[in-house]
Amino acid sequence: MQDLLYRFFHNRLAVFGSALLLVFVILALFAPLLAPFSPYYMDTNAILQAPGDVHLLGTDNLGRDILSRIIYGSRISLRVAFTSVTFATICGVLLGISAGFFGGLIDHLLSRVTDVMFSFPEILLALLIMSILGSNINNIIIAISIVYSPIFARIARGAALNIKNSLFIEASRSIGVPNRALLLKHILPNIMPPVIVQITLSLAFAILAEAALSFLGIGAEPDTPSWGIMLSDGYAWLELGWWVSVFPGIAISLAVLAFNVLGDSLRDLLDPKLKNVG
Amino acid sequence: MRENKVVLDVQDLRVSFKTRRGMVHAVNGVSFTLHQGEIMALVGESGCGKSVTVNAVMGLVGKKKHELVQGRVDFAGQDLLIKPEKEMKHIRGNRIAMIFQDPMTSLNPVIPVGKQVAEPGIIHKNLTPSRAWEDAVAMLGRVGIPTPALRARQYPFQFSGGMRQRSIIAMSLMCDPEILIADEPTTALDVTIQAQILKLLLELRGNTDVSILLITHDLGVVAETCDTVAVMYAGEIVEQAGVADLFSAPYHPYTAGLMNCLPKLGMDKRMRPIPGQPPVLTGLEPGCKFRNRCAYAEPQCAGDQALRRVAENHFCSCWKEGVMNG
Amino acid sequence: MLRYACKRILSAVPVLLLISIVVFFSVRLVPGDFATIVLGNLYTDEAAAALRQQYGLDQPLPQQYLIWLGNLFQGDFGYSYISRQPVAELLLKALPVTLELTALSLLFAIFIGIPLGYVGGYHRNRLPDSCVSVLGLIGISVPNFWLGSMMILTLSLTLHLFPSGGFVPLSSGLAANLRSMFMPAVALGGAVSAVVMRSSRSAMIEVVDQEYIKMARAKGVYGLRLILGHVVRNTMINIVTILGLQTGSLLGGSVVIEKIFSLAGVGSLALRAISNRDYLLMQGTVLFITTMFVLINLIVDLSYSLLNPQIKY
Repeated sequence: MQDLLYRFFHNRLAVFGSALLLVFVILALFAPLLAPFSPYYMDTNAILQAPGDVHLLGTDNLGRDILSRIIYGSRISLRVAFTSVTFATICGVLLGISAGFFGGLIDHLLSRVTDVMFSFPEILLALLIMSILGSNINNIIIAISIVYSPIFARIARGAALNIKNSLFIEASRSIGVPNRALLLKHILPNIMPPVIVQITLSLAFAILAEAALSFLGIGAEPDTPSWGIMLSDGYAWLELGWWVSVFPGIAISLAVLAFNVLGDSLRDLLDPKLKNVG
Repeated sequence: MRENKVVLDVQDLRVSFKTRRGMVHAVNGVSFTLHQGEIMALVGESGCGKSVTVNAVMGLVGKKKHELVQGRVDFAGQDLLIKPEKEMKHIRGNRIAMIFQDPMTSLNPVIPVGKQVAEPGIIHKNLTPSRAWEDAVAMLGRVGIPTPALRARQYPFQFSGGMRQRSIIAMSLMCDPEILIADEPTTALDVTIQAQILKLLLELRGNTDVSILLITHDLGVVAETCDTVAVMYAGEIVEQAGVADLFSAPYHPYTAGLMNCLPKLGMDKRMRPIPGQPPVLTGLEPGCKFRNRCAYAEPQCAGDQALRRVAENHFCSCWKEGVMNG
Repeated sequence: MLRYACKRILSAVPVLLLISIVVFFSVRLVPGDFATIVLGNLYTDEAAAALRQQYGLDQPLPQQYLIWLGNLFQGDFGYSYISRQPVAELLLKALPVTLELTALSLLFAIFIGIPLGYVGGYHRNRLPDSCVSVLGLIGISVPNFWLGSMMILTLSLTLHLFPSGGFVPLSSGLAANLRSMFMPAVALGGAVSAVVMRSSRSAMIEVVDQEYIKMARAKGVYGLRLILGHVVRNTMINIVTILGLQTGSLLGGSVVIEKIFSLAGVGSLALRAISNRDYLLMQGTVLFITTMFVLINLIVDLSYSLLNPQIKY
């Protein structure tokens, strides 16, 4: 464990990703302190104002400060990402391990269900779920959790199957180690590396998914300072105010980049066999 | 050996690698000559530098930034070490061929065997694909593969380990090379298959007069197949002699130690392994690298040890010259 | 091989059946009464009941499902309540746009993503690799619809190089058609290229390290012959798998791109159907998209035996 931490902090990618992520976490946590304006405040004298002294990144069509909305937007994006991925991981991993370890009917059922879910393109599935549940932040979280559970289930199941069939489990069983101990002490730790990597990837996708759904108008409520909604607003006013689109887009890209970079570096550090980046 | 013509002359070869833990001196001044039709063995434990030596000769090592190669390797009147890559490409597989240890992974799984065997002919001898294919089939037959025309169309996974190694040998001989370097060719095979492959190598030497440089850690293989032996330790050659001479009277304590590790019929109870571990290849000190494990070590062993002649065609780097032979 | 193909196709059937059930019932779960939407101000209880009876919506759900399924096999996808047109017809009209967009994006991904990935992987840890890795990371991080907006902003509104939206069918001329599709294809294909690029890069890295490549080098194979003849074939399975998966993402993700560039493709049809609670249209489009995805993955599966001789079913 110590060795891992040492290697982590000496890996340029990992440090860069963590630092970038930290910036957004700080923005999210200390939004009220850092944002110059309230994200809802409409300055009717400063409609669609270009970036300048007062409004560093300009204002949108309702006079709201872009910079403040971006800072508050990080709250939404991070909240959606972390919550939904946490749910997806817990559900997916539990189901996957059960399927892999116990096999039989549970495995069969789970495989059918994940097969069906994998046949739906992600955005489409999320759209469908959102239309059933209704458009608000919490439902986005639920929708994304559902959409990303299957991949965790599949990873956990695959890893559980591999370990289950390995010799040292047979050996442990033969000396009478109970199932629960096997699960906790052997299988869970071995599943961790691919699951951790997938967590970072899913966090990245979750941010993109929330942005896409909000952009389509099926996500958060119209007033919310979500990055996706800002992009949707910006699209409508593209000709008159490029800054309304450009800056939120950069924010999304950077946040997603942070998770992707972290994911790549973790993949290197945790499992050399996965060998993605050099 | 038909003639005394020298085909390969390695002079003071040194290979070092720059790593995070310092400079690793894998090869420290290796010199030997290979004659036409001679089968010479490079023997030693894992990590003694035998593979690195031949890889350096082939130019497969030494071209990258962190790899340092010094010395001279004379082949056909030219120094291979300073040859640019675009010329080396025409020598590899053509005039000097190399085969590796693991036949299971040395063949491309998605290309039919015949095509892989034919390839050197197409690249180096400018044969047409169909002509090269015919030659490949013939070569597969010569190395003892039954129904070669049928087999050539198959994929590696359909061949057994022994057959794969035979195919690889066939592949290496397609362009009639002057030298064949075999890096542990039988290590990954069963003993019975091993014997067949070695017999094949001897036959091929008899028919084509190719010189073979055989890398191995197995003294049994050496005894059966080779004419001369060079024993390597920690990147240096510590003893070099004809096979019969070496086995009957080794002059270096390390060589003697290796032979004592071989179980013999009718020997007394315990085998005597060599105590200790081979040295770490970073920060090597001058003098005999074996002295920490040697039963006969003395203060003089810390001085420079060069290979010196101890008998006809027999060289040894130990100044004690066969102290254990009494 | 044929036997395996049949077996595989047959095993896809229960999945498709399950999908149709999921689609049917999830569509019905969507809140909002279609009668209210269709009748609007003219809503009365009697009119609503009559409307429901007209479309067979007053029958029990399982029966509706079976009727729908039965009709499907006869090519009858039902009627769109809102637009009063057969669903099949609406799908057919929207198909060319989506097909062309998907095809162009795939071409972009194949001809730009794969070679760049190879270059990066082959020159691992040197300058080309750093560029490719960075490009790949950026490509998967930038939202494709934002990229689309930015392209519209620069290439369309500022430089007037391309139209900012709207589909020009092939019948109006190839040049005009390609001009209208260029930006959407690049926006959509960009992210896919980045994924494919990263995948081909890692496949290249993995293969180049293999013993048989060392062997090939030792027998004098080098350069293009080494890469095309020895390396590429071994990377194909991974790359084809990723391409298959990404096509699914193209089919679904085109929804947003279609909105930005005002392209009337299957994606926006599905979106419209969902917003309007147009049940049969929703069922038709979603089923169509998922079936396409299942078929594509089937084809990818079957292609494995062509790519790896050891897989001879």
